[in-house]
Amino acid sequence: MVSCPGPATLRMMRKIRVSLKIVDKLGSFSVVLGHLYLQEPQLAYLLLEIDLVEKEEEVMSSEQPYISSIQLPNNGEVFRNLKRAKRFAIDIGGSLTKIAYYSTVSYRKVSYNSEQGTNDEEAGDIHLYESSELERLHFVKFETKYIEQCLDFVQKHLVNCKDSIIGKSIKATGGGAYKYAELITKKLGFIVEKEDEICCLIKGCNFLLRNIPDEQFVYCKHEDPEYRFVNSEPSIFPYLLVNIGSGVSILKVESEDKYERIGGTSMGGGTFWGLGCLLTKAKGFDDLLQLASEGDHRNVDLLVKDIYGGDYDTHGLSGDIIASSFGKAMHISTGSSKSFSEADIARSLLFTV
Amino acid sequence: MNGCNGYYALSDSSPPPMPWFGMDIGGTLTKLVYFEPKDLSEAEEASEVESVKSIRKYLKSSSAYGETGHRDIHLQMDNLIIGKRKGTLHFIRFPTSEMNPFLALAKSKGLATMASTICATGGGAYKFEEDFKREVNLSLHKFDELDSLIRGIEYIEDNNVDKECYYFVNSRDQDNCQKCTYDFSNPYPYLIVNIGSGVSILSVYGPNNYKRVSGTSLGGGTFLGLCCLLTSCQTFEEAIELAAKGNNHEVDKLVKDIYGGDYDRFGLGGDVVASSFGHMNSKEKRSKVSKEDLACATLTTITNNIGSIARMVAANEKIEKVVFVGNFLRVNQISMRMLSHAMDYWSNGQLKAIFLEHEGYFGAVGCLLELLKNQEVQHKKDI
Repeated sequence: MVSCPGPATLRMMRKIRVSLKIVDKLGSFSVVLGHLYLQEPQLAYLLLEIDLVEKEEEVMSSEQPYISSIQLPNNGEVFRNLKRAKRFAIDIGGSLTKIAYYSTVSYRKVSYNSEQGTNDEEAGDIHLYESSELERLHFVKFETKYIEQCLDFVQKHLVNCKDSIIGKSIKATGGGAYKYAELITKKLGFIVEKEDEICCLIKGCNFLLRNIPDEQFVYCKHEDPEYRFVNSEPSIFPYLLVNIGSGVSILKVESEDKYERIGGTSMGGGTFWGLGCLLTKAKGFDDLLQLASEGDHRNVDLLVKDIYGGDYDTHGLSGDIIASSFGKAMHISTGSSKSFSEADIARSLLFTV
Repeated sequence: MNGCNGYYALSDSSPPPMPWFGMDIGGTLTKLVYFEPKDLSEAEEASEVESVKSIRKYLKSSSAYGETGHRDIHLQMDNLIIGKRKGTLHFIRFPTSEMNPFLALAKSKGLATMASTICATGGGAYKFEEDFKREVNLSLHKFDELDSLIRGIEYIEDNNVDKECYYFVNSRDQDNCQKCTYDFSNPYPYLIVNIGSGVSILSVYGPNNYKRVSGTSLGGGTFLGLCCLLTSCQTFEEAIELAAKGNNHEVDKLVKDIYGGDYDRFGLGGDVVASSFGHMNSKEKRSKVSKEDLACATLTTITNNIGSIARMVAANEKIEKVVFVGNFLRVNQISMRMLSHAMDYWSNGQLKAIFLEHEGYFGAVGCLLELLKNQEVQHKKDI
């Protein structure tokens, strides 16, 4: 078994920034960042940034019906570090409610004795732990229809540490900020400061694009790796922002303060979820996605080659392009046995939206 | 008049042998246009081949052929001069899935022995080429579907003046909505939105000057397919009937369901649909909606999506006249009114939605014209 060299040794090696996509069996994934240190000629060490969390946290048990449809990446521990929460903000959308709060996390950092030579130390000889505090931004989401229960939970756990919360107000956005303002004030005792959702969206986006490295990525289906991180040089502006929630808003962002909603469509995530529930026996959004990953849309959609027998060259439309989504679905009622499955329908639906 | 070796080349100066057909084989429907000559001289009548006569008799005998073929009598155009002949244009349609029975029928009427010429467009002209050759010994003269479409629109418009183009006023108002004719004599530039199984959007800048600028796969085929899955209906007509009786407000999530009212900042009224089918992830809501509501929501979603794309393309192309054609709009006044309203509302009155009486037949007409192209040219020279 190979031992991990000390930081001084590592510093001398060539390193590459890496991102790992960890996929669970339901297809949800997290991306973890780290560095690959290369020790010629044949050895490499992979150091990943995985944060350590205090175990004495209160855990929201999965028996309570708070989150049933959307799977969260870390099972069970939803509201981490809630006791030390400093500030809350909430976005109450059409289907989902998103909460962002920041609190402090105790962080155990390994500290090495830098006087000792690097080559004759053995791995695992870790001498000291240093405890420090770090501010971290936490993200939670759940279905808007459970908002009342969620507020109850938050209220129960904030009772002891209301003093750590800065200010007496909570910022809220999304349609629900207007619809549920009274409820929030009643349950949590905060004044709700309503902010426009599009304005917040853009502010948040600009913040992340500018401050978080490796926030934006490009997806290329046929490349390996499929995900490639990009950086906006020299400026992040102008950019087109397509916000796909229950519905879709399309925004043109020209500068920090200059933006415009230039269009949108009512066919969004809500449509996929709603039609998916009507057309399949999937038990939730993630179930639907799983079903879609297993299907073949060509049994349900009418492709150009189904109409032309090949490509439609005159106007540059290749045979594999979908000419009419669900174009083959009308034949189900002609008595012939169904030639497509629920998975095929789910995939076709995903492509349609 | 017609030989048995009859391969007719379009460059021939003599007219092609009868019967004259134009055919548009689309993804879901096949549109057939038949020209019935009314100016047959006695000599011609005598020498006319039996099968040509029998075909004419068969087509005129009724308006329904088999179980799925239909002749739209209300669209019939009389006293037309095409290819130097005077006659009537008949409009017939049947589902493309019934192509084999159609070929068998054509064979039984003796089409195989006549070696006449059929011009065809649409994808099926390529897909069924072999079948036509094998069953009825016909080579299909193929024309591009969009070329045929434009040709057909301009011809019919010229020959059905004051009757072909129309638009709606007060489209939102059930009781006061009115259909008015539109003067299309100075058409250019205009946008064509052809809604068949799928959608193609064309910008037309002048005669013979057009470009396919966009399209979407969410068209009539999607509406029918989704409706069949959601309501177990069997036909397009049934789907439209269901939709007419339903209400989409229980199925779709509206702005007011999210905001509790209007979203003033961006001018989105409370009744605007924010998320189509947005309520359907709730079991409770699913149990409350009817088949009619689902059909209505499907129609609304597809129609509004097409309207939205058409509007954006019109803005990009800087064109104000948007002409909607295609068989999706057949017996579908709901969609026509929705499109009228959408164009008007979202563009603040800048855009106008225009419709044509012959809906989905333009491709087939354009095809027929292409067949008789040389005759047309000759005819114009003679005048």
